[in-house]
Amino acid sequence: MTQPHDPMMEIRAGFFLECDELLERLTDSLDAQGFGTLGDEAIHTAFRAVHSVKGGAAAFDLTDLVSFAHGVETHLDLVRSGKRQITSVFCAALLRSADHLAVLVNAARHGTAAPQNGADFLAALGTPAAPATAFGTPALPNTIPDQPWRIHFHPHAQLYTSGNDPLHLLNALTELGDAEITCDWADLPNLQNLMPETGVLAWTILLPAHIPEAAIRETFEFVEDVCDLVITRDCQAIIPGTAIAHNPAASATATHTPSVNTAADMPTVRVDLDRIDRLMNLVGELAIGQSMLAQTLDAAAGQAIAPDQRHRGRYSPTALALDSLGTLTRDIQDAVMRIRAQPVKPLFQRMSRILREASAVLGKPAELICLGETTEVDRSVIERLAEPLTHMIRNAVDHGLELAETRRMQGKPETGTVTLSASHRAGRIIVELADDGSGINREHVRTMAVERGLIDPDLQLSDAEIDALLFHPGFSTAATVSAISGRGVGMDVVQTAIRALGGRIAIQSTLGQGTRFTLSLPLTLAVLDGMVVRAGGQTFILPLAAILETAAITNAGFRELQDGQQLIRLRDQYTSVCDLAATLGYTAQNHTPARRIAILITDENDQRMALLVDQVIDQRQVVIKGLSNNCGVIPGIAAATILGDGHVALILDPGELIHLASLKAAATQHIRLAG
Amino acid sequence: MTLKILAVDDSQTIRDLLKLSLVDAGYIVRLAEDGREALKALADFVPEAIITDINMPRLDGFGLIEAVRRIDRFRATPILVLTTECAPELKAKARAAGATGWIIKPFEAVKLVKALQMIAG
Amino acid sequence: MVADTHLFAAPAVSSPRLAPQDGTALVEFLAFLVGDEEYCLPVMLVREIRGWSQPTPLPHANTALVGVINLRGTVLPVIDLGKALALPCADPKQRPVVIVVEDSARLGGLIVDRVLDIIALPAASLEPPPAIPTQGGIVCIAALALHDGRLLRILNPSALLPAHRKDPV
Repeated sequence: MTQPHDPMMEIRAGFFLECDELLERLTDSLDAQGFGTLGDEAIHTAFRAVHSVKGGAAAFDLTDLVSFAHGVETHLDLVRSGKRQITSVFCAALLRSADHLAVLVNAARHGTAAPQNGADFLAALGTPAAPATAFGTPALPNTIPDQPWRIHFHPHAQLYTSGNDPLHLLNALTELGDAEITCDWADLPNLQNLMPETGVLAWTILLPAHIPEAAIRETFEFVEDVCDLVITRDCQAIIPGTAIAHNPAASATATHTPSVNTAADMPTVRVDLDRIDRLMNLVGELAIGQSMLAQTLDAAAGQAIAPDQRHRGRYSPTALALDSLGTLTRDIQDAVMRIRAQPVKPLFQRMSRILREASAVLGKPAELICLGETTEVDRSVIERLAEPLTHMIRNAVDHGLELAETRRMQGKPETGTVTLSASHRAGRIIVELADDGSGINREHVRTMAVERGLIDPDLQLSDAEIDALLFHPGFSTAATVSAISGRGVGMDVVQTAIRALGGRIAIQSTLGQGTRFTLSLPLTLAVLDGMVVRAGGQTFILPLAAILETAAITNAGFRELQDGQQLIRLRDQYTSVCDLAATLGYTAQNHTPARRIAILITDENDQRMALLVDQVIDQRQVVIKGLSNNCGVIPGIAAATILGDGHVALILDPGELIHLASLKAAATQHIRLAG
Repeated sequence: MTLKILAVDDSQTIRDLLKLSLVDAGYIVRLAEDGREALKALADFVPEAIITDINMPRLDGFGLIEAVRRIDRFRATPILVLTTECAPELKAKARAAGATGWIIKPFEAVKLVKALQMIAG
Repeated sequence: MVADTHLFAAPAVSSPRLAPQDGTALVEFLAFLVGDEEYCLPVMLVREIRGWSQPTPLPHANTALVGVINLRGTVLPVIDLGKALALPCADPKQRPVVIVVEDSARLGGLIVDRVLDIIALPAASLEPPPAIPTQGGIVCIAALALHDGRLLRILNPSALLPAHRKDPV
């Protein structure tokens, strides 16, 4: 007897083939990085694989397979939503579960009995997952079934914009039984004023009493949140359509405690960096969300976010609750930051090796002294420091240190000393690389620059300005530079790398004694304590660490020099002034100091400047978002952040602002000298 | 008028099952394996309704709905979301993205057709 | 100026329908309006389509790069296509749409007025744009095509996204 062609059988066969593929993908993902680590993408692939097996199995009523796959899927879901961390024990349990899944698939494929020990595998994965929230129609108490139903249905605009159409819903109701439908168009405006997608129409529908309420509610299932829906028995009021009652079993959800690590296990856990980054991002979003909440509540209370007014509601229950939420968020951020922070020791040890190599290759005895090895730096910063530091160490040995003989003649110890140190200072990480070599021969550097046409021969340059020439791209390429003392190979590359990190590099050097490079880096690429200010109609963030003080200023404190430079008197000192909005091109130069705020900022060279802004809003910890990938490098701007209202605010780079202002001043000066 | 449906899911099995159920019910069906392929299909296939899974690589269900809602032509096209759970957050997210309704996986053909009738007639 | 044919062949990911050797192979484009002018973008380069949100302007901004917006936590530069293509067009705040495009790992948003449709065109019908120098607008057009009696201009997003500027010393 020939079987009639059954498309379901074909699809079923196809399903088992698909399962083979999915299981392969699952084990590949779990195997990918070996025990103990799982990449983010691998987790998603693994999840989707199990999810698809479950979905297909359900369609063919393969209940054993469905329930086991569901169990595994639940655990994978906890991992992919960051609620559970991976350990090597867990990973091994997952692999065994994947094997059992294959066993079940094969049993289903061949129609043989499936082994019933699935629960053991799930137990090995951890505390049994909470049962899925069942989608049940509500078990409502029986109402007297003699009164007909009266349904009031008033769609909101969103019902229409979400693609729903009352026509289809009303049609569906008529299929339940004899319906009497009346339309209420009292709100209908003149046709020429009609906006078709607004909710001006409402309907009243009468349905026979015998129809189960569940059937009616089911019809409105998709739209209950975008309409006014009242279903009554003409005389009895029933709760207007809201949440569907959940299966009581589901409401007693067991809280999942990942108790995979027993006391006998390792005290540390290897976690993939991507997973931590993801956690970092999520915590960052939490901070933004908390900020948005604070902002919304503030706005709702009708309070402007100005320092004095905010204090008014300071001790209100809302304010206090928000405060503690803010503290909690901050604590979580700190805790995650601590996970990412690593001592620089391994990096420094690597640099020791680099130095020994360079020393051997160049035949110059040298040793590296490391200080502050326990200083902790965010992992992201450490990784990106390796290359520039390597460069600089090689340079130090190659160009900085003299040959052993020369050193002896000068009374220096034959073995050159290179010192690498790390410390925290002024809210930044300071990394210093110093050598006791020959120092920068500024005469040579200057001559070289003139020969290259980089500077005007008559130009008088300070020591600092000559040192700065070394970072010029024009210096990096020539091999001849290496024959003369003085650095030059690749320093512009180093500077670019450091700048990309949001850092700065400075040189100090004494001829005959040595050279020191100072790198100033942000503590982390993730968060920043900043002051939120307004200037030129825009909101900016200024890193708190760079701020010395703020002051409201008046005309009285202002002085203008002959060359147009403006000075302001702060802390008994005259400091140069920079109008933030004007410098960044948001407004024309505004010389009116009245009713403005001056913020005294500094860079790590202790250069100071007073920044003029319109308003200081508050202080906040903000999540740093990179700009350069999509927008390129923007002078004066370090990065961006997302404010509580969801808009982007730019984070200023104080050091660069100071630098820009001094360039501008120097340019003005040179013009005047030339003219 | 025979209604056209665009069905999007990254599982071949689910796509086959959707096609079977929908064709049996008299619809014309076009399949796509993720959001991106779905967008491309819209170049020459104008459906009366779209059914889409959520978890898909490249462009997921929410991204697809948002993109479709911004294109003039498909601004009010009914979209059903296929989901395995009915958690309120998921529904809210689907709603926020512009979905018209949802179907729980595994779906019964009858329920699927009924849902389509409620949104597309 | 020769059309950037790599624009269509490059995404190796995708279906063989993009293979240029088969002239009848179809390529899908997203058609949209900037002011009254219709333009297209290859769907392969389109990441998402979103509504408008107030951008934060950048310092010394040139007029086309109106600022940056928050795209689910990523800072996205947005370019007013009307200004970039030197078109007279309506105030960008009137019901604009942002098309998020990706070009070699750079993301950018293009502000347009309306997205119309998705069109499939045979690869063979794409022609290089004429080499008439106009205000830089021509650089942005990768190809032209005739469809339904209209002339379609296919844009090359990489010409519109902000270039990586070197740090000015």
